[in-house]
Amino acid sequence: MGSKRAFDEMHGSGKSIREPYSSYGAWLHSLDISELGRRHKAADVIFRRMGITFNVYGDEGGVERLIPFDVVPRILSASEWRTLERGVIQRVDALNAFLNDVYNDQDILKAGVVPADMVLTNAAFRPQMLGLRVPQDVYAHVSGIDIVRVDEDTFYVLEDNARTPSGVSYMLENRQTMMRLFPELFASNAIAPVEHYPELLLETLRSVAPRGVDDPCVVLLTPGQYNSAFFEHAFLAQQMGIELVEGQDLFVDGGKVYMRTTRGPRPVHVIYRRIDDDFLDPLAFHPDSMLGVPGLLAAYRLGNVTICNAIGGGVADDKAIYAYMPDIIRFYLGQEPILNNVPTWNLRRPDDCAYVLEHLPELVVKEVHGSGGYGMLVGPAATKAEIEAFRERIIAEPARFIAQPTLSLSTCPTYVDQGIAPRHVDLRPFVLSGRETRVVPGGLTRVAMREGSLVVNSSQGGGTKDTWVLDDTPRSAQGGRHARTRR
Amino acid sequence: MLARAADTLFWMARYVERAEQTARVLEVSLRSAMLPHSQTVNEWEIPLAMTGTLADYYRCYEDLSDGRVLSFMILDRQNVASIRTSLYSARENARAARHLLTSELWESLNQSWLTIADLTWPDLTKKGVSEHLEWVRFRSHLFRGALQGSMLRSEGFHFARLGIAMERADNTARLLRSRWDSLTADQNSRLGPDYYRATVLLEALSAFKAYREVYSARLELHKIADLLLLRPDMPRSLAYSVREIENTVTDLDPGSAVLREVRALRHRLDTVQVADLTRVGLTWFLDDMTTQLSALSTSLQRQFMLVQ
Amino acid sequence: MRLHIRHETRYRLDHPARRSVQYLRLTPRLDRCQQVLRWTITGPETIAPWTDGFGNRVHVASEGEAHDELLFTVDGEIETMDTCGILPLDDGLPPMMFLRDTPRTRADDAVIALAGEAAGSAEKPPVIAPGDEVPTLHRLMGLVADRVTYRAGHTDVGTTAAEVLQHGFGVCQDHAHLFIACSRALGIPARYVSGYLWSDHTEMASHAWAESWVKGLGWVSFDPANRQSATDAYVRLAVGFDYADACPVTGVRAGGGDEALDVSVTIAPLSGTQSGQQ
Repeated sequence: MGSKRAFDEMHGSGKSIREPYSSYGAWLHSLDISELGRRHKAADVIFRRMGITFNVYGDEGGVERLIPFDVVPRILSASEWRTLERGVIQRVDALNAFLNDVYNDQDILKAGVVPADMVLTNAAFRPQMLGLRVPQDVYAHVSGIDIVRVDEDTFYVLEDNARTPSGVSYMLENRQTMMRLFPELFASNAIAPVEHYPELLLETLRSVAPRGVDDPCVVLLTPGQYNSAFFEHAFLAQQMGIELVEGQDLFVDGGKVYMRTTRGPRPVHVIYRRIDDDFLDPLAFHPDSMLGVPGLLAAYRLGNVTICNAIGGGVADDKAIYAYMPDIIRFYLGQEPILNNVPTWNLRRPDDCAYVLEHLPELVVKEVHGSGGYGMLVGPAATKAEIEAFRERIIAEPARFIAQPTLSLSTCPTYVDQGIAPRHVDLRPFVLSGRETRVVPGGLTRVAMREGSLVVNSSQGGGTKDTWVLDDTPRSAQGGRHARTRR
Repeated sequence: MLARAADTLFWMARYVERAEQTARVLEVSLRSAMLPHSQTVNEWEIPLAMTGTLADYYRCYEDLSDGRVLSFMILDRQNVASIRTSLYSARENARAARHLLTSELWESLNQSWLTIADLTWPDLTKKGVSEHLEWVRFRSHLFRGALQGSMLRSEGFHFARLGIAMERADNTARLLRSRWDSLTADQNSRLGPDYYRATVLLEALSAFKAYREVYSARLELHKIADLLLLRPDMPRSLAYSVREIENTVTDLDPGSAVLREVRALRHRLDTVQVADLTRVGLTWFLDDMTTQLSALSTSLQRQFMLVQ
Repeated sequence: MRLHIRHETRYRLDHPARRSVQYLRLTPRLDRCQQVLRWTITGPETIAPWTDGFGNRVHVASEGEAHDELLFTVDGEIETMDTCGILPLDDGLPPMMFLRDTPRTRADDAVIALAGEAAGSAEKPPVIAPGDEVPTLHRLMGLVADRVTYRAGHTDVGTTAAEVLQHGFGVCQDHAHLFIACSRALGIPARYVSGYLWSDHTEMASHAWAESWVKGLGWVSFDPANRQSATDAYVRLAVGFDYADACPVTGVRAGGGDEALDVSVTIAPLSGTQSGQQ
């Protein structure tokens, strides 16, 4: 992290309260800390009773854990959000154009903007998709763009998730919980709503139905109740009013997909799948998988069903491709990127590799295909032995890794045992692409609950916060709020 | 709705009902064991035999004692028939279908499970075994209340209802079957049943008051059998449960082929007389009912809930 | 050459399966070297044709009723042409894609050494002298045939190239996998081809071989099992990274227990054959 104190969402680099937090800060100041603790406990009870959990494999089919929820919100101003919103939409539009291109004309490879071998020999590049035109030319229907902030004006995109990003249920449940716990805050602050996300998601999914289907049947395909994100799958299916199916509920007949209902087979047109490519169709991918639907690829390539996200999106969110995102944006959209990439060393380039091996203690090294904070070296936090062990792995297979400088992620006040203290946060807005590309204001703020930690992943002890985007459209009823902030 | 989802809701409800029924069965044992007469059958074998877990029990324990049987039937993780296992299964089914449940219904089940998940025998004896069994019954009432009071009358509701009725029909037949011999064992002539044992049985089925109200007479074996098997207005009777199955299937699909099977069974219960049954042996009739119900359950699952 | 092909695949199951789904790659590809004159596939309840990402023409066949037997029958006529074993890039598949290794074609040290031997290179990884690709690949074909004796029953569809080389026995698909692994180790894209081979002296009717991509030339076929490149006696059904992408029949079923497989293929030239018509 270095010696410099990180930028704080509430206090900036100094002591005074930043504008987006002015109203909340005053409220927090007037509140007894024990009252915050009481509401923090109440949140815990709500989450446990509702069963908002993620599963960790163990006996009795899996142990359910709560993701720590923090009662102090992360607040973004309307103008900050406008930039982020434009930035992530631009990014996702470029990702979709890239996927459409690499699975069809491959112009970007011919132009040499992205090295052809990096795409074509990538295991995430799926030849099964070659020459298939998907509805609306959209591949990544739901994307999660991980963003970090390092100072007042600088946001970086840390990672693109174009496969099956999760966490959106926490965004929605966190908001609901906050509204139950702190109704007064929602009355006095103009906070942009997020509750319409499931509606937008369903609209998005319906908009990519196969041609000629007017009233598509949309289903959510889950690996089942022991999957770590099952709560989210069930939650989204309920919110959208669609069936939550497992592979065994679906079958392919005559190149079409059906689900088994109490009244016999019913055609399925759009599958919002939350299982990985490898498990979708045992006849086309992993032959031992029982999670998928035999024959699904045939139905997909025949255009009888739409799979969301499309198969093969992994080649766009690959960490090696990530380095080329600014060029990808320029190539397809003819625009300069609104959001910057974190400077990235690509270890397949010998110069970069040599530099990284010399500076391991300062850098973060990630596996190209890794996710969830696994297989990652955080140089400044690693022991000498860990660094040396990682060095061996890099030398053995440099192309598997990329490296980035250790960023001083912004912090946000967080309720911990000792009271309120700064903890590092990131932000994952969820972008929906169908007939159009949209994003609900905010996203999921993940917070590293351990002091000084930069790892926000829930599998590694990270927590979440509600994310507020302040609405700056004038509202006559906001007089009280302005009066208070001027104090 | 999805065939698998229907199956999940059906079993969720069956397991809650099964937990309740096991609690009732154990209450009968608990109270019968305190009665003065010693029986030819060991009292504590009855709940095990009734749930088909006698062999499993003797694999774990050498001798029969009230504490062991209670612990085995209430808390044991390996015992497929224990209350803990039933509530676990109910809750796991609910979790798989929680997007189809109202939050009241889900939370009632989730709360029941969380309360007993880590319960130990010392906890249980401190709380009181009877009190715990009563708590299980009340949690089941709460579940049914949440089901009745909050769920939309769509297929999901009906499959849960069907699960309750199937399980109850089956359990009432089994319970009476397992107790019939002990009720009649002390009956040298026509003096009537063992009064205390009959009372315990009726009370465990919440049927004692109903008996007085319907027959306003001393306890008679025929009348007990009539109440628990054939009275269509007695909510835990076989006749009531089968009618409930018939109504539910009609609500699900009035043209269903299974309906013929259900109606045949209901018709049989409508027309049969207890006196005729006891002449040829009530236990034979009860065994046959158990077989019929099991066949019916299979037909229902094949019709509506078959996944592959 | 004009060929008549009849191919029956029959699975007999121990007990009835509730449901089964198959992908059948049993229809010739639309390649320059062959033209289908007539082709029918019959089989289970429903059969729907589609085309996979490699351009293979696949049928998805499903059987929804209980069944204890599955029978697929192919009957067709095809006109083949001799292209000297070379095909252009008309299929639109980027050759570089076929540098990717797969579990069956991953090269271990022994495989890399074999590739080096073919290239006459002691370096690691082996290097081919400029312009020496085709001779190297021909040497490689000979080496693979020398090292791996044709013998059925020693390998299965999951056997890897490294295992084949180690054991020294295999069938045509093993030869193809080993050839592909070596070719890729030399930096030359290579792919698996499954198809039919007409011959008046061998039993091989269902067959597999390999193709390597040589710059400026195209896809060059190598059939190590027969030490030759493809001729008009070869019919191309499917291509892919390895067997998994190109296998003629792959399926899953619910229930059924063990199966007994019975395959019969007959290939016969038709009279009145005229080469080079198209």
